[in-house]
Amino acid sequence: MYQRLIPSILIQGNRLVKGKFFDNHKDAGSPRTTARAHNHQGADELLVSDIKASKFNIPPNFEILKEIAKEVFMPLTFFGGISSVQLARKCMDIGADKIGLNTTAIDNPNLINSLAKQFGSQAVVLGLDIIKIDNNYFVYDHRSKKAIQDLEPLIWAKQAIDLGCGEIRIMSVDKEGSQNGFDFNIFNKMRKIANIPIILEGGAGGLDDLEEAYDNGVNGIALGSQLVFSDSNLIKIKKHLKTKNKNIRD
Amino acid sequence: MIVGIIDYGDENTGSGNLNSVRNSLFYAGCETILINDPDQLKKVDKVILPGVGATKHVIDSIKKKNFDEALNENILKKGKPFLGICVGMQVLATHLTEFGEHDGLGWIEGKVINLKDTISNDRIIPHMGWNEISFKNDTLKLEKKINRYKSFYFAHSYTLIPVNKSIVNSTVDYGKELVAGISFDNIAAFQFHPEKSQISGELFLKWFIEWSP
Repeated sequence: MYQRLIPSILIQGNRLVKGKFFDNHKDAGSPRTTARAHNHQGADELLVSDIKASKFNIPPNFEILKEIAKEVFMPLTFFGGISSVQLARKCMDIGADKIGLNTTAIDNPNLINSLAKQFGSQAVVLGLDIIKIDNNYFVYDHRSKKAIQDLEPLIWAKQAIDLGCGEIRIMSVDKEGSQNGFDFNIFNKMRKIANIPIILEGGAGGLDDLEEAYDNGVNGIALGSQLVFSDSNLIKIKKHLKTKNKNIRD
Repeated sequence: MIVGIIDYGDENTGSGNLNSVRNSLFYAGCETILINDPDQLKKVDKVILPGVGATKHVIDSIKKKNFDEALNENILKKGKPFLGICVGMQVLATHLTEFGEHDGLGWIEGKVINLKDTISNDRIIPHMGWNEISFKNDTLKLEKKINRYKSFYFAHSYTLIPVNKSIVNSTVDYGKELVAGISFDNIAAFQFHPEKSQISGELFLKWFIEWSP
């Protein structure tokens, strides 16, 4: 079983963007050509988040999803304002393999259960934006730009697992775009309570961060800024990790 | 040659990501049609039964739309080459156990059980991600075709346990040897998703296009 290297791309309107600490999003090119490149370079999976959809409570950008889906022959997880079974269904029909729920699951936890029943647990990913404040972890609401005080991340994750989610994606908000390393502490805490795959995102900067993620047993290692704003790419990354004796897929 | 992809979904049940199956067959070099009426099975040369989600929903939809009889006719009687993918393999079993006990299509004597009832409990479920398959035999000439590209994408919580082990052509190691693929006569079915498996998947689908059992 291989650990997965997963490029994570953000969509705003018809463009690819990348920000820092959930803010200050800069244009980063075409979603379609970027997705194509990731596919050819052997990404193990792709995460696509429509950051406009849930922020403005509008339906996700189906056209972009469709374009991306045509380019990739790997699993595609789509996040962004998916607030109903109907919207999820439409995303699946046009090319998503997994549906990511973030704030829409906080608003309506039963949506997790409805999607799991219809598409199976393997198709439901809980997105957990987590912020660390004074050594405490909180769930972060990107709409209000605030930590949610009465939602403990581990308790919420456990509830989501009981409702049927099959995978968790942790995004460390206070690490996003910083390129100063993953937060393995929250991953390890989550690992103890969750017997499902966990994707860790936020903070990947250098190759040593990725080596560390392999050593920590992270199931899915998400890469954002590292692939967007540097001369790094998956071919180089895989080659390097191979020389470090990490188990890398051909 | 036309490959028919069975679309048993309706407004309540999705049949998974059919477009990616179509798209990847297109890249592998083959024409496909989506079949939502069992009668159309007559018109195609080969058949793919994809599947995502719970076996119960999938088998219910297949039966509700009368695909079971049409499949028996076209695959078991007429011998058209058949490929089952993921849940499309699991529903071939006689006994299904997801959301209660029920009957599958019954082409394979055996049952489909939750991974948690067969692998050690320190293993993460679903078995999700890329894993390498090991061939038990190569009567399909598939190993020859895919060569060293033996890693495929898996995403499942249930696994097929066939009574007759000789139909197992390949396995995958996840703390235990799980069935990766079965085959007999004109029927082949696999637990992984070739349509999501990049180069391995492309070679796999090229094999299916060329396969003449």
